[in-house]
Amino acid sequence: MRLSKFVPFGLIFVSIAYLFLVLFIPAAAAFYEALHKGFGPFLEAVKQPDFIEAVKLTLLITAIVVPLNTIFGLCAAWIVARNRFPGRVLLMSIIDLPFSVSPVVAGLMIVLLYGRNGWFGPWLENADVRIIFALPGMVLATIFVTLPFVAREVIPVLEETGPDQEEAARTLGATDWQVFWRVTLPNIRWGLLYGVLLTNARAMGEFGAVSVVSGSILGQTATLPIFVEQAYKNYQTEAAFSAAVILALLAIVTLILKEILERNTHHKTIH
Amino acid sequence: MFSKSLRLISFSLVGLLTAGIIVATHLPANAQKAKELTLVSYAVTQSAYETIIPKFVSYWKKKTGETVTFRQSYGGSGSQTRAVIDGLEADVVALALALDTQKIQKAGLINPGWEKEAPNGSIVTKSVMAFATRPGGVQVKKWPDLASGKLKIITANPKTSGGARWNFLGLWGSVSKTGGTEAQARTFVEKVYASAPVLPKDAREASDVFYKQGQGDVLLNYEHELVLARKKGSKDPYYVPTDFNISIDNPIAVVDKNVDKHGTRKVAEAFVQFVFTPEAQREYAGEGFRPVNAQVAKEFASKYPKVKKLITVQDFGGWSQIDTKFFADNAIFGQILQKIGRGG
Repeated sequence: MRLSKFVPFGLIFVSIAYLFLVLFIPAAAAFYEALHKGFGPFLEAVKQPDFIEAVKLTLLITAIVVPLNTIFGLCAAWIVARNRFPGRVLLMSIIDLPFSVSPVVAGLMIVLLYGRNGWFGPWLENADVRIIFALPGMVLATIFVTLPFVAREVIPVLEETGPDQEEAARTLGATDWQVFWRVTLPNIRWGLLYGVLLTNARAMGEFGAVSVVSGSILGQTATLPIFVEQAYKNYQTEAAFSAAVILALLAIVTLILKEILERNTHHKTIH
Repeated sequence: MFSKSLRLISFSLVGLLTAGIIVATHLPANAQKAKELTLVSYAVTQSAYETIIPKFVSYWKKKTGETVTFRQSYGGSGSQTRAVIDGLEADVVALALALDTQKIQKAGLINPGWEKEAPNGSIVTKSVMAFATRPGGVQVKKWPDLASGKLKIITANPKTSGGARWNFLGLWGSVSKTGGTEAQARTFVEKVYASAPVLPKDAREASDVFYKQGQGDVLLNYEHELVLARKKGSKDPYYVPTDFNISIDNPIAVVDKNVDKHGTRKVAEAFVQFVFTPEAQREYAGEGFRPVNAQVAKEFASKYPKVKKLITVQDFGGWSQIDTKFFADNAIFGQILQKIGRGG
């Protein structure tokens, strides 16, 4: 009886200790390494042209990938959740494929397809289109690894709410578009938002798949994570940790955006 | 029920999408228009090229009035080679070993005979192997000391790292080229790799594992890696074996197919000639590479101890023989990994 009283405290303690060990301390260490010599070296590091290009490239890739995968994820989720057709289970497992394929393998698949000796290689060379070691390949790699997030988050919500409200709206004369905007979307918004956030975080942070197809050309095809690795390897420890901090800040900005959106939508739905 | 912010999200999503598509369709077109050279090199050369490139840019500007910009990519020599073959459009490759340049030649990107297009057989820098140890720890000064079985040895993976292949040849040659048999050499090399807790993927990562992560008692690496670590503040002692060592020769070459495609042959060839000038060679020497220019070598003689018995790739019969014998699939290195239980 007595013992059970301490169980919740024990669990809380364990969880907090665990979080500190794997999350807070490493994050704090990154901030410390970036800033312990003051803001001067930090500003110096973030003013490097290669670094600025890396930030731009990362944001650009994210800006392309997140909308594409959001739209694809929504379509896929709707098809899977609202329709019964042969191959439905197969489609669901195909959507999950990027979770089970190692990112490095994903990158290599793109090289196999679009590389100079790849399936489409000769054709691309004739057309003088560059896919790998250029932006398109990096976008493809990022799309691949972030593909399942939106669909995975939205499918369960769609399945749970069921088609009843949508059908009701339709019998009341709503067009498909109206049904989507006024019924479906409000129902799935939390799942969708969470999926978009996950996609966003992964798109900015992806290293494995992107590094295979990037060629790591400084100031051109080096994303933030690649810049972090290169700077660290070049004994530019401050630059590496400064870039890591910027990556973390970008993630925090997305979290704040999510928080704001959540509050606003709550506010709207209550009143 | 209709929420304003949801509408906002969807509008911004559509906006971002269109912006993304516009940028994506415009990007490939404007690349490669300016006089631009892509230099692909191995992991540890960046600090040298960071000073050599601006020198060349101003030299070229003075000579021709043209402004040339550089795109630079650094990574493990093996992986860089693979990337160039797969379509990384390098104009100039400065790799860790001629075997990698030969692979690009075999892929049809570099014309045969590149060794004769630049001075000194196109070998732009040299180095030797060195051992770094811990202050107050076990000191390793002789090759056989490495096989004591009591040391944890850090050395990169010869499958991906050029430097590690040089290490492997140095280890093997330290037995087979100093009076030992091939069988003895194999036993020695097996012992060394059995003492390696990890095989990092390139020379810089090996330094990182040893210096920053603090693993291992001995690091086998390029002399210039250890010189650089010293420059960056490491206090760990290092030692260059001078009784016997391997001459590490790093080649540079113009990638014929790419320079013809980009119209950059002239400036690429000029760059390859420029790195052999005393001006550039001094920069390499300052970063720990052994210069190949006789005059610069004399200036830096005190910095780089002379090796009594220096063997070369030719003593092993050239790279293609070395590759078949040691590094090809199921060749000796693969067998050693299998034997010490690391898979092949």
